[in-house]
Amino acid sequence: MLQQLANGVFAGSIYALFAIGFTLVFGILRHLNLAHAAIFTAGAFVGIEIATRTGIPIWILFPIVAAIGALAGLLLERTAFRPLAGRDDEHFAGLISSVAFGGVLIALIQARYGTEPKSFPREYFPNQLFQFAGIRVTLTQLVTLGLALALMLGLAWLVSASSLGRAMRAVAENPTAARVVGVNVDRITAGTYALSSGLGTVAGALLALNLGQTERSLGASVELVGFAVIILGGLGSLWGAMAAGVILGLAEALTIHYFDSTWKGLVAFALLFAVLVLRPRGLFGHLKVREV
Amino acid sequence: MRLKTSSGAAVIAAAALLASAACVSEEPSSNTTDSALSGSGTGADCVIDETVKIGAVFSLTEGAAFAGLYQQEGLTLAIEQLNAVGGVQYELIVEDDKTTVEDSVAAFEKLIDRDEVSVIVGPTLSGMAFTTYTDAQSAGVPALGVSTTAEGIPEIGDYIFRASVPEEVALAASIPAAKEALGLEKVAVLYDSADEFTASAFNTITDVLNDEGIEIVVEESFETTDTDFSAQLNKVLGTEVDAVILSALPGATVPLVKQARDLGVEAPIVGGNAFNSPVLVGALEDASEGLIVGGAWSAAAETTGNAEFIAAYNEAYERAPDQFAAQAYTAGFLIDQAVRSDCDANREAIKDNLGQILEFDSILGPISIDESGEVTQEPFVQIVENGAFTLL
Amino acid sequence: MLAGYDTLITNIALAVILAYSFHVVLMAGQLNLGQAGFASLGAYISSLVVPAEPLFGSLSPVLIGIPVGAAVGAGAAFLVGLPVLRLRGVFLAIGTIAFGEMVRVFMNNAEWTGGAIGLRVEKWVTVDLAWIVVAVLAYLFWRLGPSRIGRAFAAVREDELAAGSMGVDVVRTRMTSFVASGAIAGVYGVMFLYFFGRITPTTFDFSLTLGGLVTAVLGGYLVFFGPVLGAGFLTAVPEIQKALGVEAGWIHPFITGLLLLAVILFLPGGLSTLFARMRRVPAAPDPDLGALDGLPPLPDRGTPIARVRGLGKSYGAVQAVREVDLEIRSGEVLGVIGPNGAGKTTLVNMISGLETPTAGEGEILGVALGSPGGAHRFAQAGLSRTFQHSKLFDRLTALDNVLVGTHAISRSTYLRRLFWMPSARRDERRARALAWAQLRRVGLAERAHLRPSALSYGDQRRLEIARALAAHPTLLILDEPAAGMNHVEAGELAALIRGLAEDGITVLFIEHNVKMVLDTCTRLVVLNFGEVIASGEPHRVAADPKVVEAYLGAEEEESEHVR
Repeated sequence: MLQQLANGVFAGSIYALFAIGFTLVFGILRHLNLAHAAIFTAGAFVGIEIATRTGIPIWILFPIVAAIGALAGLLLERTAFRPLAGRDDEHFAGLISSVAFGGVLIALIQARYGTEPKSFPREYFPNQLFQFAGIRVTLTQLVTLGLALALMLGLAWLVSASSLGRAMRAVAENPTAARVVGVNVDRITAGTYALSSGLGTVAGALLALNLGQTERSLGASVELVGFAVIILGGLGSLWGAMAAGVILGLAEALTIHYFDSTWKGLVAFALLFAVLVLRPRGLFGHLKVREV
Repeated sequence: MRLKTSSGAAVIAAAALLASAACVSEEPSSNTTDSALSGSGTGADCVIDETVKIGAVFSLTEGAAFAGLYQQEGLTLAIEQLNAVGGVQYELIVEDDKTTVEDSVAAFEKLIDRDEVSVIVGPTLSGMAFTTYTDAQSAGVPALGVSTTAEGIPEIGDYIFRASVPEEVALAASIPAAKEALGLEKVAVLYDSADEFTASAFNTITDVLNDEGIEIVVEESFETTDTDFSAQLNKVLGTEVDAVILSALPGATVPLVKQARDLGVEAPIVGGNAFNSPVLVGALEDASEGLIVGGAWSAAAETTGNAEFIAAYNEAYERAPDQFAAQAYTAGFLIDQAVRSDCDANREAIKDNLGQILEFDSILGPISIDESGEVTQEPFVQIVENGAFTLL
Repeated sequence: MLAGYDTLITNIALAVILAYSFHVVLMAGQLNLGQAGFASLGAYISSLVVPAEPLFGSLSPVLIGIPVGAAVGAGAAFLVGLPVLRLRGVFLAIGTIAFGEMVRVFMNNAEWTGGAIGLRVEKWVTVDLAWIVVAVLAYLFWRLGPSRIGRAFAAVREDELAAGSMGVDVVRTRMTSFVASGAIAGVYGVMFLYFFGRITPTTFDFSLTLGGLVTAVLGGYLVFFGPVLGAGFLTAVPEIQKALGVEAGWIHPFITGLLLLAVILFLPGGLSTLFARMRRVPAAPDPDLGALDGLPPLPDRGTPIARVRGLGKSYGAVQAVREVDLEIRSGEVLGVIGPNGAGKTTLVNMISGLETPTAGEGEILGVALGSPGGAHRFAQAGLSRTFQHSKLFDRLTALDNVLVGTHAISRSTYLRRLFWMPSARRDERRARALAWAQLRRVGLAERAHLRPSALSYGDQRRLEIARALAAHPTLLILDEPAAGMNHVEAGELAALIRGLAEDGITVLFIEHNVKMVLDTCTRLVVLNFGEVIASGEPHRVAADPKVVEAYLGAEEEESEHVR
């Protein structure tokens, strides 16, 4: 039982990792970035390639992957979102342009890496099994949880305490007003995408390390649960995303433990559906007063 | 008033059109025989003037591209080698079905009606075969599956054949072999409940286990896109099992086996067809040690031409072949055999002769296809030892 | 038909049908992404009732499946819509995606569906049948565009608040589009099942939803043939690549993705934008005064038409309006003034049904304040309004904006339009005559075909008034109509308002331009800190020391603020 709770927390930290980059863009810019899954996948492939070619240790690898992801995020914002700004159909068109960008990215991944799954080199990151109070935990699980928490803390600090974060919050509140008081909204928008995509690529590489391999469908496999997490956690709430990821992981683990694993797939979405209907602001979000 | 009459007429016309379109018309399959496609001589001496068109539908992009590209390469290699023999020249037309039913059916239609091929190889997935093969059947075009292992495929019709050992046969070989080698009494079964291939294999597994008198202690499922299996694996850990039987696609197999080993599941893992890939062993590293896999082909098997096939494939594509490549490669030779036996590459002739292939000596070992379209072949049970597949 | 291309052509038809199920919600601005779930339900349930043999010896059994699929899809959409339609935008999208996934898992686990192994049936759908379904849908959408409900869809898409204030029942309109979407998706599921002869639960997954959405947006959801363009494009691109000899593999999705991106970036409104230039500029009809004759008479001058007592509104601890008593009589021009933040807009929002009061009671044109239903009920009772920040429908022409205004006083024309009934044509002609009359009245007849964004600020305000007038209101509420106008424009506006009063329309307006208020009002109400501090004859009220103080005080505050 305790073991299953632990499993739920670890599984949930993967959901949370995918979702934080996603929820950042959603919370600040109200964009549903459907290319995030492709960026996530790209992170996994790029991480594996760099690790294979250079063999650099993981704590150098992840920043490099994040930097590449940030560049991809800038490109994404430039090509798929900025040209649409201010258009009447900005909202719908942004969905489609991000789908298109994602499609192009996945095609490029197939061009470079082929169709076979790829994995980190042998012995790149040896896994170990730990036992605490009868709970079995692997090193990758611990790293995943730790990194999720660290990224979350860093991001929370960035958003709440740094000047970039203040500008981001201003843009989230009201882009027009932010522009009036001198915030460079275009730069903040680009920066948000860079940050979000940087987080996304690291999360992708980490998941690939966790799974032992990656495929082009890696991002798509967590995308839907990612939706559930950002809504459950509340609009743009970073801690909400973390908590919601863990709640989903726990709910799934408990379903498997007490019920039948074939119904596990229903849990995340039933929970999401219920929350949306009963409490649309999410479990940890604040409701924004609508202005007339 | 005039408007009323004309709109009334339009309504009647539309209704008539609707009625005519809604009618079920049974078009008889018209099969013309092209005399240029039948030649002189038989067997090795057969000479056909016209180039024989072979169509192939594989998934070259999206989900199943991991298999489709191997199949394309394997079949292309076979056709190149056959054309080098002379007498009969083949033209291979490969279509990508993008791993969708829509494109699969459209590709079959193109090959049948526009390219007018003599025979079709593929599609990659059984799910698409169920709908495309009914079209091939009603058009009277022989179709030869190379990875369509699901139950009920040859039963679609007399034009439908397969050179891929069905999953139940592979499992029926690997489970008893594992039982003998490991002394199985109690097992855990893990399967992907969201995929038709693995769900169908799961049914077979339970049947075979029942027949063998092996008890299923734990039965857990997951979904194709899952990334974390620790909750299911923990239920396995809570019991004493002699082996874990796994029915999963390659995408979930690697993380699942890896997580099982990481979490301390020591029991041997037994799997079916989808396990049979060198990539899998590469990705799993040490975790793959002791995996037992039933499949249609083995790199370790000393079948006729196998070593040459592996060498030629490596040279042509700079990677090792897998079972998908081997089966597609074999399909090329089976078709050649069917064409040469009457020295006739018309659809009817290929259909008649594909169903009479007896103990053809291939890289898969002796292989036979009967009139019902079903393949008979001895599956290979392998175990991963020191990072390589070894025959068990 | 074209031998050897049947499947390709049918695939286009199926993609069009799926895209229409997105088209109908996008038209109304709703991001419903639950189509996969509706299609799945439609397909699986129809498989239970469709007979295995042709009907009467020769008719395709799918003719039973199609209405069943439509009914199942519509019913499911209605049930899902009840809770989900309270959500908007991305929340609605994700909520409906969740529904689709729940259906998939359910079908995967149910016994009667065959689970993951799927369902096999006879292939009964032919290429002709698929295209006839497309033709029927295209016809339905062609007739929908310029109908009353079609305009309501557009109005809800552009601005829900303004739509409600024009008498459009927003909740019902959203639900209508949602249910229609479910019905079309259900039909798609049936067509798919009986064309390919096989489905599994994963047939209807998220990628199907994305495909339909992409097709609908790519083609354009502002014109009825958008889905056909979208599906044609997405089918043609790979075929053309194949014909050009581009090798299959990654390059195909790569090029398709780039083209998709290019279309979205350079053609706002999708591929249909390419055809937009073909549209004719509507010519103004001759003044048709006959159309205006049939309008119901306004109440006699002096009749009380609205009364509120003790009205109050608080947002948490903030008391925006308190203890307001007010009576409005027919034919008067009532000015409401007061410093910024005095609660003027909150007051008129309550009177027009946009906000529910937290205290007090009242009755506007026979509709009790706080009664369920929302703003459209007040609009239908004869109240019409403009907004402080103009809420025009951006993607509609000026004429179409004003046509939405006729919603409250016209009858539904869609069903009659489907059958080309002359009465529908008469009703539409009448609505257009009303709209043109109002455009002339505010002096915008020359610019009827322009979009609001192409109009000057003053013209936009006038257009909003024309839209409000098209509803033939008993009570017209104008929220700062002269804001941003120059003196000449403000003078013209004052003359217009006096003219309206002469026609018997009661006008309530909020204004900062004191000169204009004094010139036009018959009565003046002054608000400060949410309370009425003075009311009565305009010149006397303006001289009231309390009023002067409120304004001067406010001015001081404001100037401090500026400093």
